[in-house]
Amino acid sequence: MISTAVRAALAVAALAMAGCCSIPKYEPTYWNGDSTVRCSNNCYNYGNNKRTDNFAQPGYASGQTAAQMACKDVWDAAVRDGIDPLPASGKCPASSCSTQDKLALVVAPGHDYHWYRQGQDGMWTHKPGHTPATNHDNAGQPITDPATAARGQYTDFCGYMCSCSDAQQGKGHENIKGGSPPCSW
Amino acid sequence: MLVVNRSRVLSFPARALALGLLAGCAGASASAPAAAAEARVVRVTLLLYSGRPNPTLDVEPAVAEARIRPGFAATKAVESARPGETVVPSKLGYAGIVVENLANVPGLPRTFLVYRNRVEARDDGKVAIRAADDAALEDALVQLALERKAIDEKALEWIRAR
Repeated sequence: MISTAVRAALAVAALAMAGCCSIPKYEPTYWNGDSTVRCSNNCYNYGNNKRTDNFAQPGYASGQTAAQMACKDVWDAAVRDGIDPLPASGKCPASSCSTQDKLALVVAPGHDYHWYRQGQDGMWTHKPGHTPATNHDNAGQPITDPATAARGQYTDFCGYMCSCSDAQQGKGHENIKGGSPPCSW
Repeated sequence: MLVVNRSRVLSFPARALALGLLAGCAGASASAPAAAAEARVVRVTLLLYSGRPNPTLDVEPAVAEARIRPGFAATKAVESARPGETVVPSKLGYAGIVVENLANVPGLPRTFLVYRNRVEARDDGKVAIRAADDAALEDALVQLALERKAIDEKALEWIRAR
């Protein structure tokens, strides 16, 4: 059993190895302005601030995707990709040069999953599938916390995780991938 | 448990590879039959999911003429689209249907998006917003998806919850 302190130290070490991490701004034009970027990148791409143009799937890059659309399965698949669970401190790992970005995972049981990411202002944004990135929930309200946001059929709140992003849009540092061909409608 | 016909959501490269293997071809020549097949269909994608790939079905031109074109013909141009405007809502759950007229069926735009009674038609770089009195076009597309088993009753519940 790895203690919380050791886990935190490992997370900081991993962060240092990955290079400096940043919390990206909410800049929807990058994700929505180009039809290929908007169409070919989903919530997992946006959450990790990484453009791959192949509809990234948790676990795809590490060789095993989620067997079921359930919190544990999707969570574990993301962990295999290198996304870290939020430490008990409630804050993502940070060093003198960088801070990881906080993500939130929710699931529509048996159907699908969805990710949110927290911005520099503490508010949350997301990109539902092929549709444009937005800072509003299903009720049209700004998202102060995905746990309490209007989420439609995505009724299961799974928890928070941490991702090594980049200040530049689309340039996240995590190794995520998908297998879908690019689209541009 | 939602069931999606995986043969209909097979990615283009996978389809190309499968066709190539069946034909005993390899390399660049393997993609030619698949590309030709792609050009002979109208591709319908239902925007249901945020994370998973969405269900897709390929419709033959004759079927598109009979089942899709009447619904589109019933729509009328209502306004010019502003830059970046779309009829597809940015929300979780069902967000509309995309139709790609790869077969160039007459009377249909090259690409159009449908949500409820509104249509976003895209042709030659131009975008036009159209609307009908009802959602007959959307209903026809959903019915096709059900008949082709691209979606099941569970997915239909999602669409009805729009």
